[in-house]
Amino acid sequence: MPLLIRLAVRNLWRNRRRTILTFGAVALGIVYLILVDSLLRGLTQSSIDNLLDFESGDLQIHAPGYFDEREDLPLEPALPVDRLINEVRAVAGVRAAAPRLVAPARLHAGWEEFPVVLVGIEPELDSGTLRIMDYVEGRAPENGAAEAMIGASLAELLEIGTGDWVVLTTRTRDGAIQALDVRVTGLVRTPNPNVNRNHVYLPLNTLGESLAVPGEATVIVVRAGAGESLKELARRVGEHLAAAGTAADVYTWEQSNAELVALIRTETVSDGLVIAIILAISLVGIANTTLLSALERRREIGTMKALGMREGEIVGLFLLEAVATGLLAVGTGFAVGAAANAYLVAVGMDISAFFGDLDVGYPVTGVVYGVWHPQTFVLAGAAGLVTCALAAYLPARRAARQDAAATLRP
Amino acid sequence: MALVELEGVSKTYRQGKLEVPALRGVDLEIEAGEFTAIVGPSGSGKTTLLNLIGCLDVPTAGIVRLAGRELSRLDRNALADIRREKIGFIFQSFNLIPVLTAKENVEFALALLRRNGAGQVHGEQVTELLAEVGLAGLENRRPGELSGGQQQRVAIARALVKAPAIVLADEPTANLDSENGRAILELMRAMNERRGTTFVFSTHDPMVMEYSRRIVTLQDGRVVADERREPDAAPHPARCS
Ligand SMILES: Nc1ncnc2c1ncn2[C@@H]1O[C@H](COP(=O)(O)OP(=O)(O)OP(=O)(O)O)[C@@H](O)[C@H]1O
Ligand SMILES: [Mg+2]
Repeated sequence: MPLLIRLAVRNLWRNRRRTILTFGAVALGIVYLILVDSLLRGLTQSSIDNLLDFESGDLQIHAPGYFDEREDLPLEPALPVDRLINEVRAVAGVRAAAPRLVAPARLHAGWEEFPVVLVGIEPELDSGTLRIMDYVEGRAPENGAAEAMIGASLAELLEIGTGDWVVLTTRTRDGAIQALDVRVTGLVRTPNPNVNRNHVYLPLNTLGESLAVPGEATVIVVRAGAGESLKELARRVGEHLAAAGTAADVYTWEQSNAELVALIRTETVSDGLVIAIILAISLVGIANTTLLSALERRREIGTMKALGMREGEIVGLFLLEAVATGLLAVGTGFAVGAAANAYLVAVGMDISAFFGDLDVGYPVTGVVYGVWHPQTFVLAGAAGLVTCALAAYLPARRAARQDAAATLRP
Repeated sequence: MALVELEGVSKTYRQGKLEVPALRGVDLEIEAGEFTAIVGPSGSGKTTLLNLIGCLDVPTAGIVRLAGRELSRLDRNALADIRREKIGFIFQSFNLIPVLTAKENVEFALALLRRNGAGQVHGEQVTELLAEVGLAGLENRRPGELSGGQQQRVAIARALVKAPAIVLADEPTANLDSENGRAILELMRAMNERRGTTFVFSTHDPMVMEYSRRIVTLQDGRVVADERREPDAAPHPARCS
C-alpha cells in the first residue's frame, strides 16, 4: 500500500530533527563498529604479518625436544643445517626456508649492558625467507666476519651507530662464558618492535663457531607457497624429513605463538561488545522516538482505528517508520563508514598516540592500517535494521492498543 | 430488521473506585436511511451512544446489533473490519491526518477498504466526491491549509467514500460558525437524500434539529424522548455549496 509508505515518510519528515538525531545515533554506532572492526582486523593482520615476516615464518622446524624448552632459547637440541636445508626446500609447497641459530646474550656498550637475542642467519637464504634484510640501514654482516646488525630501537637506546664495536657475552653449548667483539654494520628498523628492540643478527657461521655449534641451527623457518594449508604442509615436511632419516618436529606459527593467537581471540570477543553497544544505542534511540511519536499522535492513531485500521496494521505503520529510520541510518553509516575506512586503509592510524611505547602484546609499531571486510558492513547493517524494528515493536503495540474512544474524546 | 438495534444497553465507566454510569438501559432502533439527531445536555451520554454504535466501545450490559450482527461477540479485529467497511465517522475536531492532503485523507479510507487486493484506488472517484462536497481545486491541500469548514467537508468525503451503511457524527458543527455549520448540515442532508446513507449525529445546536427527521433526546443516560418529523419539514431544499 504505497499510501502507507507515503504516510510513514511524511511522518518522519514531520519530525525531521528528531528523525535525524535518531538515525544519526544509530549511524554513528554503525560507523563506530565498521572502524573499530577494521582497525582491529588491521592490527591483527599486521601483527601476524610482522610476526611471520620478521620472526617466525609460516612453519618452524626444531630438533625433537626443543619446542618445549624454546622459551629459554637453548642451543641443544639443534639441527644439522647442511643435511636438512635442501631436504626442506625440496618439499612441494615450500617457497623458501632459512636456518637460524638463536641464543640469549647480553650486549655491552660502554657502561651499559642489555639483554638481547642473538640470531645467527645465512644472509642469502634469510632474505628470501624473512624480510629483515629489506629493513637494514647500513649493510648486512658478512659470512665469517665479526660483524653484526642490531635492532634500531636498541641501538638508539644504547646510543650505538654503525661502525661502533660492541661486546656480546653469552654461553657456549658447553656452558663456557664467551665474549664476542663485533662491529655494527647496520641497524634493523622493521615494523616489528620486538625485532627492533632486542635482536642482534650475526652471520650463522660466525655465531656457530663462537658457541661451539658449528653447522647447526636451532630452527629452520619455512615460508609456504601461496594458498598452502600450513597444517598440511607441516605434515608433509615432517614426513619428508622422516623419510630422509632426520628426526625433526615441524610446527605452524599458530602452535609456536599461542599467546598472540589467544590475544587475537580476545579481540574477537570485544568485537561482540561493540556490536552490543550499537544494539543498545539503536534500541534506546528508536524505542524513545517511537514512544514520543506515539504519544504525540494518540489522536491520529485513534482516528486510524476509527477508520478501521487493525491494531496490527498500526503497529506495522510504526515499524515501517522505524525501519525507514533504520535504512537511513544504515545508508548514512555505510557512506560515512566507507569513507572513513577508506582513509584508514590508505593512511592508517598512528596507534602510538594511544599506547606510546607501551608494549600491548602486539608486534606492531606506529601506524595501523584498516582493512576492508564486507561482512562487517552486512553485520552492522543487519544489526541496525533488526534492532530498529525490535525496538519500535513494543511502544508501537502499546500505542496501537490504546482505547480509541478515549483518545478521540474532544 | 432495523440497521441499528440497541436492547437494554448500559455503559458504566470506571474511574478508580468511582463508577460513572453514562448510559442506563437504552433501547433504540435506527432504520437504514434515517437522518437522526441525538440531543441532550452535556454528559447525558451522546458520545457514548455513538461510540457503541460505531464499534469503538463495548457496552457494559445489553445488546448492540448492527445489520443483525451482535457486536459483543466480535473481537477487536472483527470490530475494526466493521468500522472499515460499514461505518463512517465525522468528528467535532475533524481529525484529519495532518501529513496527508485532502485527497489522500479520503483515499486513505478507501485504501484500507481495498487492503485485501481488489483494484486500485480510483483517483477520479475521489476527486469527484471532493467536488461534490465543495472542495474542487483544494484536493492537494493539507489539513493545515484548510479552514474548519473545509476540513469538515474533507471528513465528510472521507466518511462517505466507502459507501458506509451508517455515518456517525459527534457534534459535527460544534467547532464551526453558524454559517459553516449550516452548510455542513445541508451537505449531510443532501448526501442522505441523494445516496440514502444513514446519518446519526449528536448535537447541542438547535439549528441541527431543524434539519433532522428524528430527534432522540437523552438525559442522564436514558432516552427521554424520541420524536419523528415529516421529511418535508426540512426548511431548505438540499443544496451544496
Ligand atoms: N472515559 C471515561 N471515563 C469516565 N467517565 C466517562 C468517560 N467517558 C465519558 N464519561 C462520563 O460518561 C458520561 C457521558 O459522557 P458522554 O461523553 O457520552 O456525554 P455527552 O452527552 O457526549 O456530553 P457532551 O455533550 O459534553 O459531549 C459523562 O458523565 C462523562 O463524564
Ligand atoms: Mg459528547
